[in-house]
Amino acid sequence: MASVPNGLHYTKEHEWVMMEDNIATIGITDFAQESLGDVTYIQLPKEGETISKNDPFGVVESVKAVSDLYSPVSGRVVEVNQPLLNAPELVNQDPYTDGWMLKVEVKELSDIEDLMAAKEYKDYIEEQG
Amino acid sequence: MPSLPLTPEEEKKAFQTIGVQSFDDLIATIPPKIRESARFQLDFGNEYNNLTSGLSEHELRDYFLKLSALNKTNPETLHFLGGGVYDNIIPAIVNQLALRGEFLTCYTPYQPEISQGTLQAIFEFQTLMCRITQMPLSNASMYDGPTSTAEAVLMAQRLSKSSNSVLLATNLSPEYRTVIRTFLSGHETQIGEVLFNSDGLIDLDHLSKLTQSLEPCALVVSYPNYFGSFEDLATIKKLLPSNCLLIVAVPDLSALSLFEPPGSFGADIVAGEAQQLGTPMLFGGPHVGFFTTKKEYLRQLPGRIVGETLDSRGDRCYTLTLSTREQHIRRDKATSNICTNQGLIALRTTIYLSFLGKLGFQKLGETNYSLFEYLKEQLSIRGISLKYNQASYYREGVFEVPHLEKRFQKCLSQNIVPGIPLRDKFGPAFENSLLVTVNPKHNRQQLDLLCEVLGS
Amino acid sequence: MSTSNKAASGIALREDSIFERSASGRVGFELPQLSVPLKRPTTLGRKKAAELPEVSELQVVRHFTRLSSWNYAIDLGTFPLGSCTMKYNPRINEELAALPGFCDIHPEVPLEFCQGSLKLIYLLERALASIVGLDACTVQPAAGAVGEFTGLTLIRAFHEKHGGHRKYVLIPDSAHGTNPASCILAGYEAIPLKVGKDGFMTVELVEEAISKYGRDIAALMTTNPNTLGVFEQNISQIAELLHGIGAQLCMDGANMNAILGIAKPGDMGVDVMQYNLHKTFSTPHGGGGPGCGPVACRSHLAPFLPNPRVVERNGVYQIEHLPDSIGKVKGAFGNFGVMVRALAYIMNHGSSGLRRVSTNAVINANYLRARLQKHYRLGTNTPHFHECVLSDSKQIEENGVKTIQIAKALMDFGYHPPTVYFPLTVPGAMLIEPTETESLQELDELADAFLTIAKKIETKEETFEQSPIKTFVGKVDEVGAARKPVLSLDDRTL
Repeated sequence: MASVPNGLHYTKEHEWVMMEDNIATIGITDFAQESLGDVTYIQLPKEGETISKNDPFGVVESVKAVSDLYSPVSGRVVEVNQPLLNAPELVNQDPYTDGWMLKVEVKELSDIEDLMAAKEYKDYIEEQG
Repeated sequence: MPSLPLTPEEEKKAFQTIGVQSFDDLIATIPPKIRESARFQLDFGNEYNNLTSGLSEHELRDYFLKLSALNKTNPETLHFLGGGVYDNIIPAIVNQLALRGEFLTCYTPYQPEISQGTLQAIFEFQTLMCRITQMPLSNASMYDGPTSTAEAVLMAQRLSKSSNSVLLATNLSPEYRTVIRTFLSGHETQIGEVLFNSDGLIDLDHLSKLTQSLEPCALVVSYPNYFGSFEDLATIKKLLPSNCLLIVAVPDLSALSLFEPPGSFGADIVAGEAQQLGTPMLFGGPHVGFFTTKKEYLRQLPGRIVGETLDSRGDRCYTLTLSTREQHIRRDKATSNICTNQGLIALRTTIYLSFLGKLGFQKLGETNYSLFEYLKEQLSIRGISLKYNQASYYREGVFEVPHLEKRFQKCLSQNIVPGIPLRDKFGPAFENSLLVTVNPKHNRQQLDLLCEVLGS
Repeated sequence: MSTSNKAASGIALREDSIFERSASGRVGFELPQLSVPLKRPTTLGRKKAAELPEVSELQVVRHFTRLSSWNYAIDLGTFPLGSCTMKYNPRINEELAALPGFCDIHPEVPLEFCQGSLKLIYLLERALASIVGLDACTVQPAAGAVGEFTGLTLIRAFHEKHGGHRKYVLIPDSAHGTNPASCILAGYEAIPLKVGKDGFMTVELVEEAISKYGRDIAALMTTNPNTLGVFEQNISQIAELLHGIGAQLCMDGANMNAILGIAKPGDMGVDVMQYNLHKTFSTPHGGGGPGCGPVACRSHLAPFLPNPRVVERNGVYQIEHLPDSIGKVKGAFGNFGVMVRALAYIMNHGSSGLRRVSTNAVINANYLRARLQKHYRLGTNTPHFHECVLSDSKQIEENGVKTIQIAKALMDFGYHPPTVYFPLTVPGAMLIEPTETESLQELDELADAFLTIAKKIETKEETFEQSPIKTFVGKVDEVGAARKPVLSLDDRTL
């Protein structure tokens, strides 16, 4: 069973968001990395770029699949996990800690209101089968 | 039928195992109306106007020999044709090796453990393309020069965030331009055509004007150009804004044996045709396109790529890689709809280049170049000069032939095809223009004969 | 005794790249002596010679012969790769395609010099149109995917000429990945239709899409039989619905091997379809090409076909340029060398021979399924034609063994695996297409291998996690290849 830590917000596209004040740390969930298989490549925006809620901001690739990454919030990218770009396997090993992808300075905190809580997301992925 | 082994007895056994009475039970899901009208007639004329039971091997040989005899090829005819397809001398081992059943009848190497032969050969092909073009990245081959160049344009459009308009040099082969346009026809694309000047080279002023007005994502030039001479790529590159890719189409890869590769001048993509290196003309196909580019464009590369890796025993091996760009995974987000490369032809090219070798490749270039220089001299003695006086030609060029139409017919009557007349492709200013091409099969006597017949 | 296991061990020789055999200054192939004075360019000359190998003829021969010995091929054994139609490639076709009259002819010779080639193209196009009950055909596209693009572009040109641009193409979600990719290239948005459990399209499915998108639908793209090997029974009604709103029905002819002489796409309401000569008509796959993807169409789409067209007038073959043509999708006339082989194949079989090709292909696939279905769950229970879909659901449920392991295990038994994980609509799919050129004995041997594998999984004797072990190389690290790409020899040192 894929792990779904409490205290994070989750999207239908299998990203997680951790809020600290107005900084959102974003990554992909354990369920996502399991489905993808060994991740071979990650494409992320550059620091300073603006991203918009629900728009694709990057790509995560494995040998057999490729997925767009959709932004759960709007704001300015303040930090990108550089070690991850050189070692994409970190996403498979630690999707919630070492595998974090980027930190965004969120403009509207209300952006996270329509995201799922841990229990909701757990039910959602169970439905997916 | 030799390839239909099922005997009537085996058919009965099969029906039993399956649990049906007859074949009709197996196709019951086809609506009766469709089943009833399924017969078709094969008409191949004369006694074969309703071919039902098929021809034996002997009859096939007879039919096809007669059919092929309707074509007039060398040595019966002497031809000086080029323009993107070139005759060449093919070593005996190319056919012998490439037609081995293990190469001929294998599939795309999706299961790497049982396709290492094909995979390593492609890896060697990629290496050869990189070394000849001096670009760091090559794919596993494309269908041909024109489609490879079209794919280069599509790639440039994908890479560009701001523009999808494209500039095409008008001295790029007309065929390349038509194919590019057809592949772009699905999307609104502004295509600007850059004129050539009175030297047959790209008009740099016109190029500047068009880059300003269209803000293109790419410019496609030919090297050599269709008229056989070489553009000043360095200057062209300088004229292009940084967000406009320089795509250099090389319709004759053998030209790079003697001439500095486009990569040295800052080309972003070098794509073109390698048929003239080990593959017969075959009336236009199958040939083999190549596609090379810079490392930074890896993830936008169309087609297949083979990568080196290790197996579970720690030995070096090869595999198709980065296939997530391709259609079978990305589907509607694929980098192109290409599903294949030209495996067998790329293999021929690899065998040919390996055998021709470093010195042979240079000698090939020198042969073509020297033959053309001699032809140029001899034709000029007879009052036939190059339309454009350029410092460098490789192995073909446009000549102005007085009374071309008459002299062309005279050549034909002596089984000589002296070249490709350019009036239909380039308009009335080319009324007497002929693209004349040499190839390594030519010798001095044949060139002298051409000069004699064309020059009188 | 494992009679089902064909994979023995033997000597296969290792080989590094051909470059590693080089010795500086060695001359390989010799061109004729120069009969004119030697000249070299004075400007733009290449500064550094290309580092090509410097090897002898024997070294080249050994190198590629060794490489060839590492490949599995149809000539070696059964190749049940679904949707690829890996049938035997008759050698007479190779002989005919190598005739100098066909090889040494330039596409721009005057027409009177190439009557043989023009006639061949004409006869082949006419035969391909007849076989499917359509009116015209072009052999120009170099492969199936280009054929798809060509067909869609014909439709686009037709709509633009007769009322304006449309936006969507409907595609069942079981379709081959090139279908949506070709749509995008042709300027359309691909709308997936969720095909039901039975694996085929229903009238309701299409009606729903029509009520949602209406006249914005340019076409529906079908494969028939579809990628599960099942015949689209409702195709005529679906064609009627589409034609009713002025949309076109185009067909991916990848599975034509199932219906030659048994069902004509023209009779199903299909307006345009593309063939794969390298599938149905036995031209060799050659490790990934060359192929040829002819497009056959009805007369209303014929004015838009790619140029040039070959026409016949009083026994003389000429070239025509259609004013409304979509342009060109390939240099010259297409892959002529492939066309020679296909025409030879068609004439070798004749119309009744071609029908036997399909009947035998269907019988063989059904026979194989009958032998396997007790031990492998079927992807669909619907009657299938020339290929069948199995799934790994039983093996996963009972023992946690997946399709990928079964596929790799088959290699250790001496077989190329079937197509795996396609179609996407069946989880863990194994798509098996034996073709008609296999005898029942060969099919029994293949079935025995599958069944032995199933048994070993059932009795928990094997999980095949380590497979393949007998192959020339062990399991290949595809993840490593993608993470750190080494794509040419000169990448190695990095």
